[in-house]
Amino acid sequence: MGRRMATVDDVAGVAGRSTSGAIRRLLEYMRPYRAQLILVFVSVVVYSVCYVLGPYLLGVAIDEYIIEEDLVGLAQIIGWMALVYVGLWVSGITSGRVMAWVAQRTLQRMRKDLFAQMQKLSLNYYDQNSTGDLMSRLTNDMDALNQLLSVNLVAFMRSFGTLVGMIIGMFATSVSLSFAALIVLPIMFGIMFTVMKGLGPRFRQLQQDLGALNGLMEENISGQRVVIAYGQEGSSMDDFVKANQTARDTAVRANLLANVLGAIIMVLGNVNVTVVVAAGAFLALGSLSFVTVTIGTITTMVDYTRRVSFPLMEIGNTFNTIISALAGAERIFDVIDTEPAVQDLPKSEPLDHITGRVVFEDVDFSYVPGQKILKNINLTATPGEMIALVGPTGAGKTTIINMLTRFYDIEAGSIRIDGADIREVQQDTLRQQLGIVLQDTYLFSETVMENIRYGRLSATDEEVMEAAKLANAHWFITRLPQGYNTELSERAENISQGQRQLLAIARAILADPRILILDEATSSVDTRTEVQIQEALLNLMHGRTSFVIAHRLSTIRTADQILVLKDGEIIERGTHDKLLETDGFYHHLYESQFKGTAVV
Amino acid sequence: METLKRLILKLKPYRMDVMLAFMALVVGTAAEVLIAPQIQRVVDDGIIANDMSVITRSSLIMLGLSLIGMVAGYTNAYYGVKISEYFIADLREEAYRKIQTFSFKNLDTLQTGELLVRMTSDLNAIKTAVMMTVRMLLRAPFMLIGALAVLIFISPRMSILLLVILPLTSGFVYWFGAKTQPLYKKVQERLDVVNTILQENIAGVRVVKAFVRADHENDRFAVANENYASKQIEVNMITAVMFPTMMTIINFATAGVLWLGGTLAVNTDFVTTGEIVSFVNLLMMVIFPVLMLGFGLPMVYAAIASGERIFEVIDMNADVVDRPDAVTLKRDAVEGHVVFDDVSFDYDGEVEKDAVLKHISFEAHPGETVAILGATGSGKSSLISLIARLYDVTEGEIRLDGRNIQDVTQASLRQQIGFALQEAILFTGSIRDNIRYGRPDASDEEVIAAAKAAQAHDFIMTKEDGYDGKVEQRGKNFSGGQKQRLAIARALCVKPAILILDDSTSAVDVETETLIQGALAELMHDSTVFIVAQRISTVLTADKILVLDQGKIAATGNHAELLESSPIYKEIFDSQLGSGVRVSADQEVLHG
Repeated sequence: MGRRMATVDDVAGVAGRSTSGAIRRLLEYMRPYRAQLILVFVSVVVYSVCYVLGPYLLGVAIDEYIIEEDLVGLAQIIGWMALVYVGLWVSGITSGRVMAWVAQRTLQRMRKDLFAQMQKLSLNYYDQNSTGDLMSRLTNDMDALNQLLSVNLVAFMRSFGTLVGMIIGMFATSVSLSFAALIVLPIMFGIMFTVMKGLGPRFRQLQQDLGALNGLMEENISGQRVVIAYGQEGSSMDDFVKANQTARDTAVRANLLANVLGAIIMVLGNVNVTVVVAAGAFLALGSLSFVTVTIGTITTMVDYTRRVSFPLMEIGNTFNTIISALAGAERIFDVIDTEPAVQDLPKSEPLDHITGRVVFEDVDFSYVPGQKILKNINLTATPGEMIALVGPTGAGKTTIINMLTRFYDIEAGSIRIDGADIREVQQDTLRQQLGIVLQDTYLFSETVMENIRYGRLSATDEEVMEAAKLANAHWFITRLPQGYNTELSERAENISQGQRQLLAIARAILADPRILILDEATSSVDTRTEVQIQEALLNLMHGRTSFVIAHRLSTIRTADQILVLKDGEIIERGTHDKLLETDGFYHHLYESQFKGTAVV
Repeated sequence: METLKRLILKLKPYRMDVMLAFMALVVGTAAEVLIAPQIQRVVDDGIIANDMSVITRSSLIMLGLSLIGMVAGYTNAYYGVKISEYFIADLREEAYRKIQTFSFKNLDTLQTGELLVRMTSDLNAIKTAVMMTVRMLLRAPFMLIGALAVLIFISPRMSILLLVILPLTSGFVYWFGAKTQPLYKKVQERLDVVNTILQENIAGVRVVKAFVRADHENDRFAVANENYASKQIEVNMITAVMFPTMMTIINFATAGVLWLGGTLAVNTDFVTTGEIVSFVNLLMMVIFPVLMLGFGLPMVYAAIASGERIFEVIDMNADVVDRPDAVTLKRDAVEGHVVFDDVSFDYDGEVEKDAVLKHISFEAHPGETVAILGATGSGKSSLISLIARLYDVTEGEIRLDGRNIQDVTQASLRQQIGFALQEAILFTGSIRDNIRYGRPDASDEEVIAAAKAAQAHDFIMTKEDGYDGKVEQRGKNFSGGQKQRLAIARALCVKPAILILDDSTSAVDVETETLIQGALAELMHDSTVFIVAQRISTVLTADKILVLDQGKIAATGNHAELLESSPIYKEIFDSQLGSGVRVSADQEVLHG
């Protein structure tokens, strides 16, 4: 009978082949804790043995000592029972505690690997997977796995061990009564497996319906301001009511089945007890002379029979949890196993002491195969030059920067810095030479000081403040409630967009890179901050090779080279004055953008 | 308590179900409890007295009781599930309906994330508790009382043992709860730190990579990870003790019964063997309810706390409401003549020194374009929000075609207005449905016309399914500039008498923005247009420019007038279109 129970392999069998891969990987993660796991295993075995011995000794006590009126013997056997109970207690605690420790250390290592992997993955991975999706893997899936390893696993092992133990115990106590008890047991197994098979799809459906409902709520509540502004309050209600009811009805169906399983097992357990008592009594009266059944035997059997339904219920209850946790583990391993698209070559050299000469030669690139975003890009930036990238949205300006930083690998051609192909140097040392100020300034929920220091971790407080001064950020920082020690909130809502940019500039100044990459903000900055940003940028660009995605006339006019991009190609290049002379795209762009001033 | 009462009152529509679930529970528990004395009868009156008929009868009774228990258990489960799921779906709907009446001010108080947590986690906590209560918790007292009664009936003397066992069990359960609850809170806190770092590293991946800070981040994460893991181990070490210890208490109680019962049976006639046997069986039933209460009650407390948060949503008063005698504005009958008459406004509803808007008066005629310019925090967005009555003015009044906007219904007012908010939020569905969101009956031609004007048509056509192309959640399959253009198309599609653009082209490049403006001038020449902008090139051609400074109108006029009269305006102009001191030179270049 015990062999029919859902073992790990069966679980994998139900859930599909890849789950067994996940199990194997999990076991690999637990390998360093072999010794502890053996201890867990041994204590589970001890636990099961003690668990089974309890009722057995109880039967013996009644038959041989109470009925025989032997109080000395009774005291003795109670002493033995106490010993067994202590063994049960100790082994129970040991298995639980050691497993808890193993589980947490395993999960800790998985989280560490997962995080390190996230640092390694290239940007294309983040393009393809939304933040919400990744976060859900990192939180929900990990949580489910936590539940599995620290709670379900030991419970499962104990259930299995005690189930097997009790069946053995039953047969040891009374073979004939065991057969009586086992009349009902197969029915319980049958019902359990049938119900469990039905539960899977229902809970999957529930997961889907709940996902749809939550998605709808999330979308509508975060878009509530639009709903209000367009007076569409009523229209989203119908969809909601429908999704709400669907989820409710599916939940009723799924939970009903799950709960009914528990109820049925419990009641069948009682029926089983009845059967055993009746059969036991029948046999005890000596109707069949070749079997002897005593009151103690009946007591023990009743106890076993009653307890047999517990592990069954436990297994039934946790089965779904286990399956979904393993599915979660699979998703986690998916992340860990993903190869980063951009990798260092085996013999890559560090990039060091550069002057800042950048050459693009016939560079092609596409995010989606077949849709070229960059075509045949050629450019040369001599040290200290400012290159302005100009062109309509989608022309490929940001992509050029993504190539230079090697956030993505180019498809054809080469990019060289001081003569070294950037694919042949270590990514880390390449990026250390680059200072990047992006339009969407990202700050961390740490102090202002630490956020600036992010540019160079070894910088002293004085150096940080010096950088902040050069970035025109010092004045507003000192006005913050705690100055440099002000904690920035998650999305840095306590400072303005423009101020965030100033901090990003300070960060880049502190990093002191040879090559600068700037993505100018298009707006959302008030006038005074704007002036300060411009000044700060001038300070920053001084003496460095800089690439600027330019939106400001002032930046464009002072650039050494303007590259006009359209549909992934450089269609014009030259200085501002030279480009204005030719009646080309730049001329047209300039006219259309700034013609307003001509009205004056 | 108040919250608990309200939660219970919400069960009213299901009182029949609750009654049935309750009855089933009582019957089921009784059936279960009554099985034990039958075991005793089998042993004492059947086996020992050697009477087959007693055995047969008792067995049949037990079988019957089991069947009754099964039916009762099923019934209880059925209604328990039904009640909790229906109850929570109702509560969710009520809260959601309430959110639909919220104004912007309500949404400022209860932010999106918070609302979502309440609508998901909090409701789940309540559901679990309701289910627990109906199925288990209510059963605990009955089981306890029933089992106690039977125990005392079977053997009053042995029941004395319970005086030791029950307090011991309850004490342990209590100690356990008191010890772990605060720890769980700590674990959660430390997990939050771990998740914050994760979230930051995903959102800030470019920065981390650009500054080559993977090692630093790994170290930072390692600390948070260790803190969390060690706390979790601490808690799990305690919980690992729980179950075995409870088992051990029951086991030792069994041994105690055996010793006491055995002694009594041997020395006196007070106890029979059958009594000992059924007593051992009932012990479990006495201790089980204590356990259930120990685990169940914290869940109920959590549910009450969640209930409070849900009721906070439900009880929140929508602060912008239609007056009882509010008039419905007729579609197409509005010209778009907007007057601000000495309007002051603050989010807390009190006009003090630091009010967001102070004594704003101006007039906009149909067909005019009014641009609003000013530093961050000068009150631009607040001002235009008032036009659509997204907030109510604190003092003064706003008139549309001579009528106070507080005298018309919100729905009919907003139908006259096309509003492109600062943050371009799109909904999942087709591109077409997103554009005609404000006017679902717009024809395909109208949708396309709006998209063309917003310079969105071209990129829509590059999508495989064109206007039927799918917008994914939060519009993540579009760039920032594309989203903004779709939001503008959505506003235009309303064919509004008043069009409001709140810095809604910030992510659109200047050339495209110019094209949009050109299209607007044509399409909206009868409408009143309000534009909030940071870029001065956006406002150059406006009929009227309002320069806001700290909640007041600092200057008004057109571009040429303001350049002469307003130093603030000139400063803005210089900073953006000139390069500092060289402004005059720039202008010369342009003129030449």
